[in-house]
Amino acid sequence: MSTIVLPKEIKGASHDAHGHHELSFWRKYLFSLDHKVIAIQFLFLSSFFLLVGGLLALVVRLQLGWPDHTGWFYKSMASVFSMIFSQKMITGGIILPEFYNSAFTMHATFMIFFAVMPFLMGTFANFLIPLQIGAGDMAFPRLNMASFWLAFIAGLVMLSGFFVPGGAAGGGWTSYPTLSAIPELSGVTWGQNLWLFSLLLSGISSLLGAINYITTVVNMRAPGMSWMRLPLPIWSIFITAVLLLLAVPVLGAALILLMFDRTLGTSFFIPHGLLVAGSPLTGHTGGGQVLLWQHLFWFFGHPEVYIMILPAMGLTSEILSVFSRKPIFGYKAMVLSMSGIAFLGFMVWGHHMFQSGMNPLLGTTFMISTMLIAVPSAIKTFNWLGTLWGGNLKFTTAFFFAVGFVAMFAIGGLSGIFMASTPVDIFIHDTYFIVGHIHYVLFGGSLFAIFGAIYYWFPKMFGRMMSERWGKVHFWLAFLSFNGVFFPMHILGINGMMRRIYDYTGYAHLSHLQPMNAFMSVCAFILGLSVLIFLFNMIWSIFKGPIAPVNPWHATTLEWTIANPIPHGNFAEMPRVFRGPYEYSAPNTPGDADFYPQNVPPPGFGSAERTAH
Amino acid sequence: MSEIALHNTHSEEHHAEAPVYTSTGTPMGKVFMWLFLCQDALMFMGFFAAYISVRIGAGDLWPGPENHAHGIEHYPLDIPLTAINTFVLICSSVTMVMAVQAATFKNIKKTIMWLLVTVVGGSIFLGVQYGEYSHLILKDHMGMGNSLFDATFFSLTGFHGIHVFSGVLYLLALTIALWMGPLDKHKKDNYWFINLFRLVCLGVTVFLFIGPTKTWPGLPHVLIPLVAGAAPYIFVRGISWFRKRQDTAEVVEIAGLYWHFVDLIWIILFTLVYLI
Repeated sequence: MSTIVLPKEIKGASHDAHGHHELSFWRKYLFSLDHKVIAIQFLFLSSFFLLVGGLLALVVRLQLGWPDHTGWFYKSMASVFSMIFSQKMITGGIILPEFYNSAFTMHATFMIFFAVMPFLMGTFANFLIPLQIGAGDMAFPRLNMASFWLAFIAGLVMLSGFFVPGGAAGGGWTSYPTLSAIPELSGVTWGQNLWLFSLLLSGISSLLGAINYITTVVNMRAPGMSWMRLPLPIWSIFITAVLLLLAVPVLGAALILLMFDRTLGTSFFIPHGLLVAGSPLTGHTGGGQVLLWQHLFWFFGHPEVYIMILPAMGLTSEILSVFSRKPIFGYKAMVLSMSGIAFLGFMVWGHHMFQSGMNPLLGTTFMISTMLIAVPSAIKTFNWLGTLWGGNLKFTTAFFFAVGFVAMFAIGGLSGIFMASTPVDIFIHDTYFIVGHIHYVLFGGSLFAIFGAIYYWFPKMFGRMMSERWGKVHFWLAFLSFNGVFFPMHILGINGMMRRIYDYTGYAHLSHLQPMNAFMSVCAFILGLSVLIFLFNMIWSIFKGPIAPVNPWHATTLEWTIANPIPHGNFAEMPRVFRGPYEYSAPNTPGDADFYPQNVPPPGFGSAERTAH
Repeated sequence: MSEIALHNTHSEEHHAEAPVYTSTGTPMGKVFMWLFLCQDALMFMGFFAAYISVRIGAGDLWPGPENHAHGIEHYPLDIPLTAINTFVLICSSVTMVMAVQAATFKNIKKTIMWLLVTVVGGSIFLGVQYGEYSHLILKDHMGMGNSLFDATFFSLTGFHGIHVFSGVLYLLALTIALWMGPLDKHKKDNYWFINLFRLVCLGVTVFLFIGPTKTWPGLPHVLIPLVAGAAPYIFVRGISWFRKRQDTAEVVEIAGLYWHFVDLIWIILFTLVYLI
């Protein structure tokens, strides 16, 4: 055997980097440099914005379910909402159209940038990277703290949009100009500026995070933790961080240019000869291009979709493997397909613009590149099924959500192929079909994986177990009501119901869809209830849950080797890694366990080396 | 077969310390700078894409050095002057290489000298750009809202100019830190006047932001406090940050990466915006 002499003092694993003295309350919980505390801060931040975004979603569903503002359900819920929202939003039990625009815009914005992204790339990236690769902390703890507080400020700026004259941004989360560039068109003045500024801040926060995560994974892996021994969550977060690094700056450039258009009178996105309310637009020379925004935005926006699904895939892979008590099926294929998805993700943005006007040849190119993504996605799906096949399944809540992820992701992925094909897209573009598709991928996909991952890693985060019984209630309520809300959206879309519409009953071909919409809205409220159950379960378990054992799920990865609560600096001494992360039901496992932890030396491992420590 | 590559950063004899463990052997700071430059390149790419797009959209109406025939009498940009300016910036890249070389050979005096020459080069570039801006704004009446030609010109050169400005401050802070003595992780220079300066900077920022600024138009309201208060603050913080580094050669090399990147962007920008 080779002899590897480890340095006596290794920064990162040892405590000397941060000092052992007791920290003040501020440094310990608020302005903490510890990646675990920052992860929990992100967890609370995104949970809060999940609630805000969910509340806005219920406003949208309430309006869509009963556009005539009648019925006991509508009236009772509207009276509840009018206690929360101001007179300018809901008046006399009627959700105002302007507020409806703000509600769906801000719902999407909060869910994407302040709930799902910080859940995945804030909470789990922060929590898992150092623990699973065997490092003491992130490469740049100060940047990590800055990343959280920037995201926090960005969230406040975004929220403040509701309190300025003109209301919050109402041009959709894509903020297409000219609607977003000219205040006269949308009626939103300061709200849109705040939206742009907030996204710029959250973009900087994401970039700081991405740089930190990449550096940490590249440079701080424990001895023996080679690339092909990384747990899949780390691989997925690493690939996602690369996506963030390359996609977010382009959004930043687009945001700055749109900000110039709104505040300095430039015309990057304002075409020549535009008429506003019948008269020529004043104050802008025009000559810019509306499509330019769409190209810049979707060059970011499509990788963004994978930013929100790839980490979810990694988390799910881990959970499925642990609770099937089997190695993940096709580890290398998983890594390669994730890289493939990330790579292809940069050359498909045009499929959002099939109806925006595009050379048909270019449309076909984008169609083909988009459909190619089905290949790595299918590899992943079948690998998950292969992992489950013949496994010794443990039906925990985390496992339920992981399986739910696979099922819902399959539906969302298949409906995506409809959207990707140009001839079909002519009919379903900008209808409820796309709304159904995105929610199958983002709620049934990402958010189910996030729920599962919270149930799974909660014992390591807080040292206590979450209630499995209420977890099961949460799962079944969420799973059933989720499909009740979003599956009919495909049907609505095929029937031609436009997305973002305030009142569809004026259209003869849509007015008969009201009962279906009402059913979906009731399901949406049940879905909201299930999320409340989850949050109560989480908060309750932080204080009152049963004390968790060190390794409650019998998992192999490094974080489960540390006793709760994890000290600042994580590992008492730098761990050594001897094998891959998915050695479940492997032959020669130590003792009567059915798993082989990554850090346990193989029998007969040279004793001379251990004395070198 | 060792997967452990130890990064041997510290050769100064009087600090025989255990090296910082990294998996790849590349220092953290260098990885950071490369990643930062990646995202910066993509951001510039977004601006360039916007520029190319609106320019192609404008067709012959776009003022260019060649299309005087198409009814555009006057091409406002001064190509010879900017060519000289470009030359100055490229020369500053060469002097930066000299600084990195000197730092590698642990010649601190020469490092400081070449860094100062680089700072002077960057400052000349900024000075010429300031003169160009004031000429264009005052004589040619260019302005952000006047046309897309003006808007793209000021956005692109301005965004690059901010990078050069930050780069000059970056190198200057590094120079001052080196001039104060050898870098040392364990040294704590806690001078009262530095703390006072920081406080003054913060006060200036807050005062300018909430003080007599109601009449200022939107962007200067944010920018002026940032330049006048936050930039000096970060500058002073930067000096003490550099003082606590360990390896001079590494710090100078990372600064060089940034400086070369800014030069490279300028060469693309000069070609796109001025020459073509």
